[in-house]
Amino acid sequence: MSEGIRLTLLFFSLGGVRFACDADHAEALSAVGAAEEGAFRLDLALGYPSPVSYREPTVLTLKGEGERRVVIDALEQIAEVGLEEIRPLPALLEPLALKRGIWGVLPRAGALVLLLDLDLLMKQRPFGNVSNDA
Amino acid sequence: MTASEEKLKSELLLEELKRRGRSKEVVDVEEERVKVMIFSCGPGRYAFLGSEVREVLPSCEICWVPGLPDYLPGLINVRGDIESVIDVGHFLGETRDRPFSGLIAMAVKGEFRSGVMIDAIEDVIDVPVSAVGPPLATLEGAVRELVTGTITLKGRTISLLDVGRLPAKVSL
Repeated sequence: MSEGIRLTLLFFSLGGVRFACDADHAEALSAVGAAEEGAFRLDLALGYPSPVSYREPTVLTLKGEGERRVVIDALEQIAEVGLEEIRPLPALLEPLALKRGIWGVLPRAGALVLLLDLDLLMKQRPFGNVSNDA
Repeated sequence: MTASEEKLKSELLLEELKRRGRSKEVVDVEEERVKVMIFSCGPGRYAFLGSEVREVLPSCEICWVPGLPDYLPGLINVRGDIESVIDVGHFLGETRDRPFSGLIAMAVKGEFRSGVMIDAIEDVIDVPVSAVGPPLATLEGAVRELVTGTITLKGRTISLLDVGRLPAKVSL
C-alpha cells in the first residue's frame, strides 16, 4: 500500500465505548423497525459482559451477499481519516481483539476509537451470540 | 641497608593505608548493584527491577476493549503510542475494593512492553545483587511464576517480580 491512503469511517458508540467502521462496508443506514428483532446484536458479538441498552439505535446494512444487518448505537458522524492516523493494537492483545473484529485504534479528540471490521466480526460470530471462547 | 634506603615507619603505614584504600575501591567496584522500584498493589508490597520500568505514568483513562479478560483492562495512549495495560494484581491475588486510581508502570523487557497497574510507588533504591534472595518457598500458583527473588527491607520481605514472565501469564 502506498502513502496517502484515506478511509471513510462511520463513528458510533456502544455502551460508552467509541467505535468506527469502514463506511465502504455499509450499504445503507436506516431507522430501527419491527423487522430488526433478528438483527445482529453487536454487544453480544463483541463480548460485552452484559447486554447494552441501546439509546439511539440505527440499522447498518452491510454490502455483500445476503441481507446482513447490524444494529449500532449513537451514530456520531462519518469522517475521513488518513491511514497514518491509525495505530495498530499492542501485540499483547491483538490476537484476541482480532477475534472480535477490532483491528486498530484511532486516537481522536482525547479518546481512543476502536476500529471495527464488521465483515470480520460477522464471519467469526455469525449469529452475534456470546460464547466464552476468549 | 642505609638509613636513607630504610623506609620510615610513617611511610610504611601510609603505603599500607593506600593499599587498603585501593583494595576497598576494588571491592566497591565488584559489588554489583541493581536498582529496584518498590510498589504497592493492594495491601501487598512488590518490586520491579528499575531497568525493566521505562517510566511511571499518573492515572490515566483506560479504554476498555470488548472481549478481553479481566486482567487486561484495555488500552492507554502514551504520547500517541497505544499500549496495553495489565492488572498484575489479578495474578498476585490482590483484590481492589474500589475503582483503580493508581499509577501505570510502563514495563519493558525484550520484545515485551505493556503498562502495569500499580497502586503507588513506595521507594526506588539500589541494592547489592547479593541481597536479592531466592523466591519464598511458600509462594504458590501464579505468584510463584512471576516472582524471581526476594529483597528484605526494614524487616519486610518484598517479592521481586520478573517483567519477562508477564507475557506468558497473559498469553491469549
